Amino acid sequence: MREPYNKYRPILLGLALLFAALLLYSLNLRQKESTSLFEQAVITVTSPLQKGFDLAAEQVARWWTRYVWLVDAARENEALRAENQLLKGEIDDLREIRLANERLRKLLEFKDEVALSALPARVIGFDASTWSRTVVLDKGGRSGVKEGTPVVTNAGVVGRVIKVAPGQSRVLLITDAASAAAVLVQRTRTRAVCRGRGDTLILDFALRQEDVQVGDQVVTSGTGGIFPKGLLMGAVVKVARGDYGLFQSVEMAPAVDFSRLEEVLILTEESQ
Amino acid sequence: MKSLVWVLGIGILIAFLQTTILSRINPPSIRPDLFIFLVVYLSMTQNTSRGGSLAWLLGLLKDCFAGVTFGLHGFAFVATFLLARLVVRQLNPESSLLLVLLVSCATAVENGLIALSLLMLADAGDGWRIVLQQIPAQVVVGALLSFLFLPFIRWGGRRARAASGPHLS
Repeated sequence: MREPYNKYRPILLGLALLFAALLLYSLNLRQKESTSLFEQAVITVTSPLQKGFDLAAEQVARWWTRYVWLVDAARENEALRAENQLLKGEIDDLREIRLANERLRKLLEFKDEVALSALPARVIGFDASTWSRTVVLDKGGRSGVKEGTPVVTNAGVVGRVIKVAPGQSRVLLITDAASAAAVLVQRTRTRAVCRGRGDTLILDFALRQEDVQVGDQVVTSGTGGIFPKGLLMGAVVKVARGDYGLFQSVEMAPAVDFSRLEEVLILTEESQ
Repeated sequence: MKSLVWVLGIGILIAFLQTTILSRINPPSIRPDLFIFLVVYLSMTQNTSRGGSLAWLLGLLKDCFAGVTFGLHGFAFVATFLLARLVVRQLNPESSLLLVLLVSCATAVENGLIALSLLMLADAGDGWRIVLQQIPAQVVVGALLSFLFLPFIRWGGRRARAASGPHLS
């Protein structure tokens, strides 16, 4: 009696697992904006280790750069090389401090400009997948961060918070394909929706007869309910109008250089 | 229990590698996905119930580090594991070329399933298109890396088969 069951047991088990996995995914599709306990636990437990890993990776990268530089310098006089190494090391350190100061000063100046309650945060991790675009920040629910909170830098919009753990949060970058924001072309006030395309942005619903040119800057319109008005999203790099159709095809480059994202501001709430 | 701890430990290590070191590789389409190697390894060494559960857990772990809807990679990994398991039972796991082919196919299947899920179930804009576009690059990177990992996968497979006997159903 049990023989047929035993024969098909692995298949039945496999199908049951597959169904359970699909069910869990479809349940979570309905609650995208909330962070599950499992996710919170994993982020909280692994965050200190991840920070350490990130710092170690940076140190290794720095050591590697300096090692390559020393190989190049081997052509020079040995005494001068030793002296140069010392001086260059100090200059590198000073330059790093100066650049950090400049970035933080710009962020502080921008914080005053936007007239919003802004919380500075540091990027501590990137995405484990190759197709979604998110980053992890070192501030979370304990600092007042909530799902849906906008994140910016002095250069422009970064994205919005999608997951929150007590000490960390995850930000969906504007370049992610699931990201959309209501925007305006700054020069002509043309309304459109800005969507992510992986590494670039596109403008959806920009009417064909509207005047949009390469180089035009695009800012948030403030009507989407997430981003405040007037924040820079990017600049138009390509415009194509077909012979027919309601809309034109517009491609944009994001204002923020996401490959060099280090510090950001989380706009927690409007100041009264 | 031992295999659960091992897989979780290696999964977290892979997640750290992918979020800190491998995330510096540009363009993102050529960043290797190390999780798929672990899923293929599980399909060669574990039975359906244990391996499938571990693959699901790995997928959920990746979801936590990837910022996508919780469960997406879980589903893709379980389906990839089951398909890989079906194939592994028909093949000679000692053949190097077949192993490389298996990793490449698993990469394509995983990405294909994710694209299909995004297109049919989720409201993820053009996400499915991005995933589909990067499948060729991901397959090539997966094949190249599998050459590097081959000795470890084969060694692990032999060790697991020796430990659990000839029948793993």
